[in-house]
Amino acid sequence: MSMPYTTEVRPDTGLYNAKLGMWLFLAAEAMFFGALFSSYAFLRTASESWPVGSEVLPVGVGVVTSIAVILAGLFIARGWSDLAKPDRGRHATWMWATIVAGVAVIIGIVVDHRIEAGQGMVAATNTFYACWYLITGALCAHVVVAVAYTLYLGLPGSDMRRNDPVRYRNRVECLGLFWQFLVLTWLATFACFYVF
Amino acid sequence: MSLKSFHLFVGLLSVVGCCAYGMWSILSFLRDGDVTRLLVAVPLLALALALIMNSVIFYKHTEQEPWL
Repeated sequence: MSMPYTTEVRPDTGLYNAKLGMWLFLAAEAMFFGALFSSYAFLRTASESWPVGSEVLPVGVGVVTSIAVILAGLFIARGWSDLAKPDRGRHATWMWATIVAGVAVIIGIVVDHRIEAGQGMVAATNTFYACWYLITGALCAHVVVAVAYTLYLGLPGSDMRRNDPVRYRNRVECLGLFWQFLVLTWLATFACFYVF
Repeated sequence: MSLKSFHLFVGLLSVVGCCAYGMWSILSFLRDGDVTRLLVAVPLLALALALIMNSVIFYKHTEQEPWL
């Protein structure tokens, strides 16, 4: 038995099912991070004093992490566009580049946390650090999942690339949507904590 | 919304973010003389330029793809 609308567009939604599912998932994720950022905004406006992120956090590490996450979003999109070429272009290279950039993001966030924890600044120190550890930690967990799924598509999932290339391309598109969402979330995180 | 449109949208936001933070870092460097600000600004402005070029190439590659 084959699943319906895995490759062809469903007439009533105008999307194939996986893409619709991914957008519903991203809507749920937006609400999750929206709740975190709303709490952050509420706590910040209610606080009598709030540290300036660019003065207390290692901005250099944050900038490198930002560059890595933007590049990850760029690489996965290029990997998807290359799948439309008859010879698949440099699809595999872009996928591995995405994984490397994703791992760099994880390392960047972990290094950031270790630097601050090494200076005695932990989540219990003040509300600023509690928010920062929580939001960057949640984002890091999401990047781990994105890297794991990219790795899955690159290794065991590559069978689908040979057997069902249209479905595989749709899977890469859904993964790419998730990566773009992570880029947006990181940009918001960077602006909230490292700049202002 | 397809990956084509979402990526171009995110790319545009990234360019705006990189340019804004890069320019702010350069202004901080000119005001305070902090060289680390300049070291932050240069890669960000270079990335913004690379992102613009990538967006053009990506759009050309995906011209046939639907926006939705």
